[in-house]
Amino acid sequence: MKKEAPFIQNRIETVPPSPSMGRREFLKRMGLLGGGLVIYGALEDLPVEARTLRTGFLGSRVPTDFNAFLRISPDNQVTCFVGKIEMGQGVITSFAQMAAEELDVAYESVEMVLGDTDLCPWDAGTWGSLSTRYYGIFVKEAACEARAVLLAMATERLSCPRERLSVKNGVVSDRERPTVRVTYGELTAGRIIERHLAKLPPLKPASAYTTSGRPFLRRDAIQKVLGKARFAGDIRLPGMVYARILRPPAHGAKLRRVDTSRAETMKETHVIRDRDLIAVLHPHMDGAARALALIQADWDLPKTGIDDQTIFDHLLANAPAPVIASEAGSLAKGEARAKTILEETYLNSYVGPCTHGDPHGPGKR
Amino acid sequence: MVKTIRFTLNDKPVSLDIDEERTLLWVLRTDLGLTGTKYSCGEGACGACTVLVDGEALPSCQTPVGFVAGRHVTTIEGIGAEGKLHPIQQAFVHHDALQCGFCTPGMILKAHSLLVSNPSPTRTEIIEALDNHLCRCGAHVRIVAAVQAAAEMLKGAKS
Repeated sequence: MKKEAPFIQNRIETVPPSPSMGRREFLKRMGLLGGGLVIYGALEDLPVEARTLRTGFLGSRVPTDFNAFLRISPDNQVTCFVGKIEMGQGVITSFAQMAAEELDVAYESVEMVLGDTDLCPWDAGTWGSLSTRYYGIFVKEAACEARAVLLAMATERLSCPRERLSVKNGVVSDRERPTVRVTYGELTAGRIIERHLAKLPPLKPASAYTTSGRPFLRRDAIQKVLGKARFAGDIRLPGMVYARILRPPAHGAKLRRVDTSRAETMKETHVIRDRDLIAVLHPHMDGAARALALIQADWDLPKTGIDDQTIFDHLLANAPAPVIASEAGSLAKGEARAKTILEETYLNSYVGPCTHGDPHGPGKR
Repeated sequence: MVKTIRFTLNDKPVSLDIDEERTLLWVLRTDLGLTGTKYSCGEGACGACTVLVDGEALPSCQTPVGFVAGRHVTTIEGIGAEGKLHPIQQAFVHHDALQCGFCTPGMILKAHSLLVSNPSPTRTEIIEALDNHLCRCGAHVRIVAAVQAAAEMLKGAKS
């Protein structure tokens, strides 16, 4: 039977937003949240490949000194800060499993904070199936490092040699004196403890996993089936208006004549015009749609001579020069190692991107 | 034209002084704050905005609010609650029948109307019923499995 864990959606609103956050600012905010152990890693520590994928096209403009991941509060709750977002791929659940595994805490005691730009480390974005492979390792390493730091603290606190200590569910105990024990939360006791180990202890081997590899319910599933999960399009702010844009009927179409007068007579409606871009604003989305329908526009369509058969040659001939985002290895060497080489060109009909409102929402073509 | 529109929403009476031509979807989402009903294609083609009107699954983006006067409207917020999920909701959770969850409310409500009219649908009938509901994440197989499981749960509850 799968176990359920709460989906924590509303974080504590004690920290003001700010345009950038360095290490010092982060620690200050952690203090406001009640302190605890903070583990962070530096981007310089990463292998080149992983670093490139973390920074994306922004390269050296990404803050490198600071990638905070974990906080352990006095009540033994673990908060895991991740620059990725949950969009259905399941990382709100799997990152929590990874953190719990390496920390030796109960899966349910790990709260995930994803993509909160006030609290989470900078990240290039959530794309390309990179979260688990390239971000998961940070979560695991941070948890592993935290566990090592906590065990070192427990050695002092319990006056017990390190090799006699064992951890289960966030409680460190002396194997020879089982009543001698201390929780992670008691060790950190709300203080800000900032540690960065010179040498990371080895991660657990997969054979020792007790949390990873076990089925858990998606943490966000219940909120989603109840219709309570909030998507970007569900946010409404005071005074907010909705925009609908007058779309040209074809790429490169020129606006010849437009009459917005009927839309302008609609109550609470604003018509925006910037050269060929026309949009209507209204407090209700359906109001904006109705105002848009009142706009009469005539367009001059470009004579492209392109049809569904010639589109492919056109795209190839007009594509911008490629930009190399990162480069590693050797194509020639890889090709030489291939047992079979298949070469074929596949053409589908021309399809536009369909993102609309939500990154994974069904959309318009 | 502004009229007083009265209807039952999730078993509670609602009275709105409102332009009857306004779209039910946006009245639900903005005027009534029920954002579980999703806006996606806006053309009645994707199923994300599905609600039940007198038990029938309708695209709320194509439904004027005046149409529901005197009728019963059920949204995703009206069929279950935390700790008291509807069997279809339970089945979606336990079969992992969702990823991003944007199509989920519409899928669940359409499945609801299907199972009321046909308590023992075949796999083909489930697929046909959900044909106009798009899921971009690719959870289709699990969605069908969840609806089958929900059908069994609902039949078990009745016998």
